[in-house]
Amino acid sequence: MTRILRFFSSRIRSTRMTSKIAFRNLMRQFRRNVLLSAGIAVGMCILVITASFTSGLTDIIFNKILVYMSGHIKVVMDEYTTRRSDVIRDTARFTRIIMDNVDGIKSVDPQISTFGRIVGNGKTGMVALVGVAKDADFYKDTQLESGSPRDMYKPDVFPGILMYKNAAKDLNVGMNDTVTVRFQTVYGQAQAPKFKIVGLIPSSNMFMDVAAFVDQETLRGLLNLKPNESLALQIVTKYPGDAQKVIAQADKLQKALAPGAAGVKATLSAGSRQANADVFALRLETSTSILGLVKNNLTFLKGKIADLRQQKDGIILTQPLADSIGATIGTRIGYRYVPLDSADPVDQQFVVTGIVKPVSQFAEATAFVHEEAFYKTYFWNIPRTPAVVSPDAPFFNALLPEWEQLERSPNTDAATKKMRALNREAWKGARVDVQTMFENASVVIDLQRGLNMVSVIAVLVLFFVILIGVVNTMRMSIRERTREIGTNRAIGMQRNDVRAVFVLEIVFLAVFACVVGTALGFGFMSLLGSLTIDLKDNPFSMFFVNKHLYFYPTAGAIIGNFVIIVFVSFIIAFFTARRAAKLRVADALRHHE
Amino acid sequence: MIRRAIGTALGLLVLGPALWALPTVQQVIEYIDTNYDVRSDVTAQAKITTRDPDQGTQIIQSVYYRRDRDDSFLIVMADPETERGNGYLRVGDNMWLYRRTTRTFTHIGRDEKIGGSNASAGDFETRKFKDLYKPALDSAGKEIISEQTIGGAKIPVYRFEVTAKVNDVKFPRLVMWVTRDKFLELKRESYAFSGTLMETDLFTNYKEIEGRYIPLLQKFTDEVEKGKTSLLEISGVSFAKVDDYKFDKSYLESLSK
Repeated sequence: MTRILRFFSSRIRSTRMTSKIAFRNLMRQFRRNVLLSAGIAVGMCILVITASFTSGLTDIIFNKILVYMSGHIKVVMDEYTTRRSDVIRDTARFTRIIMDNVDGIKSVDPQISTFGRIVGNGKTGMVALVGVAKDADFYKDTQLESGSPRDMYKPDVFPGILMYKNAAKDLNVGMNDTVTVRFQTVYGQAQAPKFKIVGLIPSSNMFMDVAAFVDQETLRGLLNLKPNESLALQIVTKYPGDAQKVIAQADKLQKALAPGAAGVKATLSAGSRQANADVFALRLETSTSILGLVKNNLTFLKGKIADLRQQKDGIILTQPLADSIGATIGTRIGYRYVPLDSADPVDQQFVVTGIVKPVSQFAEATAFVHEEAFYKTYFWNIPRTPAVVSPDAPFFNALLPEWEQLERSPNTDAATKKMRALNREAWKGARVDVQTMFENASVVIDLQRGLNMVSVIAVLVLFFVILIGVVNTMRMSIRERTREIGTNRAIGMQRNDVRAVFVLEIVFLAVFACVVGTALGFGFMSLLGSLTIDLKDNPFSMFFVNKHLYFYPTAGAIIGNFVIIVFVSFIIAFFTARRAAKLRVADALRHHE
Repeated sequence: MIRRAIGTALGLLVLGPALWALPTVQQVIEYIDTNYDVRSDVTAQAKITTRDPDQGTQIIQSVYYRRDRDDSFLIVMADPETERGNGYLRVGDNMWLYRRTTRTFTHIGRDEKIGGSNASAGDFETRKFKDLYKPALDSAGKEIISEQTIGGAKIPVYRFEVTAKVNDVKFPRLVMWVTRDKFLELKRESYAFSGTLMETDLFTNYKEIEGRYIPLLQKFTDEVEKGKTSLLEISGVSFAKVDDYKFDKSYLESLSK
């Protein structure tokens, strides 16, 4: 124990001594070392600035644009019956599934927004009309140049709208002026309401200028959305920077959104007799294998499955159901149910094309219709009371699902390819897609990586020059101090200590240069960030916030660069110093220039 | 003689209101449907001239084929050069956009704009007017229809209003003017869901072709963005049978070879 303590005590003494000598040597060759450290400091300065710039770009896109446009995770339902539109019919159910399955949720926000054309005073432009909920953080986060955001709710002839100042200027309008916004409702109806400008937001970014904000409930009505409907659901998490966690949560949500069969608890009537029944749709147009599945599982007492394929307004009843309403082949059947969002019942007429034996795991009173019948009413009017059947039920796969799930996409490329492939397909029904902002904007991440790579390459070139400088400086130093090395070795200095002196010289120099470089970097960022540059509609304005270059320095990036530079300097110094340490004492003492 | 005159006068007194009474809006809708009901194959050429104060004038020309048997249609773009060879094909429930440059077909919805014009693919569907609209009622629950004259020639017309029966029509409310004799539509005002007047359309140059009246000149005026107009000129209308091969994807592809 005493020996160990003695060893450590001697090492500490030795390190203190070598550090002292190293520092003294740095001071002895002050001018040469200042030049070398200036080179390293410039390299570090460039790294700090570029890393902060690319982080700033990512911060703008992810945390100032995308988070408002799509949230960190977005659930979209693409519906195609007679027209194609993005709409979630049962927002409450989807929100419940999200809350139960995604960890660390900050908020789940229904997306009520639309793109359209905005008409001002003789000028027109594009607009992204965003519906803002009364309790949204928007009111805390948004500072207005004039007006008050809460004026959106003041009763007036026209509902209020908040616009960015630059956009209003382009439309030749100002406070209290009216603008007309034209867009389409979710059903494709033309829409052109007028809004009164109740507030102007200072323009910060060209991309944000396109947005204009109105009361969410007003916009919901204008889009012809019912109270329980939304265009999409945006999930804001508490861990936006953790891409892996966000993606893992999206994958988990995807599994939780597995669809059931589209089913309706309806009232079927024939003449004066009526009965309650579970009604499902058969996917008869989808594939022949599914047709086989249906044939194998439905035992026809009257009629056949081909009759339903031919007669798209046909209906197959189980025998108990047919008996209860006195229906047989050819009987006209009235079908009625109450939709989720309306008290007005949905009515449809069918003709009986088949009577089958009851099917196990289905209710005794069950009816099956052609999928085309559900495309007419089901998706636009999902039922208040759905009929449910277990996924283990026979021929479950032949039933029209509530929705289909799209595969998760790992990046923007894959998402684009997926959408292109889907666009080529002929389909009807509803499809659910779970997206994260990381795959939606993987291009941004790639751009950030690219910018970082360019800066790293530039700095590597700079380091190569520094490397030559360090090696050259050390060689000169070793050469000039060869006799000194010999003297130190002769009076008992060990080889390791000789090596340590040279290595510490360079490490001290690198640490000092990095500190100076970091300070320089912050100085330059503050200077560049203070310049006001108005790029107007130039795409480069996306790199700016409030007409100023935006830098977002992160401790991780700075410490990482710091460690790399010091480590590289250490490695270079170590191998060069080894030569000095290996010198024989007699040769070193004999050395003469 | 006197007895005959008195008889005629009495007859007019009794039957007059019935003879001069306005038609119901539903009757007018039925007449419109009868005239527009396409019961055969069609070939026609269309030229759309769009004027926009910001973007100038753009001319689009296309050829339209319709097959009556299954209500399929094909639109082949002829002009401008950037659109030439592109096509819109509808067979059954599926509508496809063919792009000559990429030689690919994309499944599209009825809202897809045709060649950058204001017309959408859905406008070429032959859904019956009576299935889409019903008579609008005033506060007293009566149909809104009246007699008017229109234009410099003081053409006698009926003016009436209809509202949408279904959700998926572009304009939920229309005001229309039709001639009193043949119920030919001369003017239409289209209103948005919010009630804003969106478009005023004029239909002129009616020509009788094989028993049907077709407006060869149609002018659409945008009432929201002032100064924007579209002029549709129809020519080369024929109701002769169109060959089946034209309603096939391979026909569109062969046009770009």
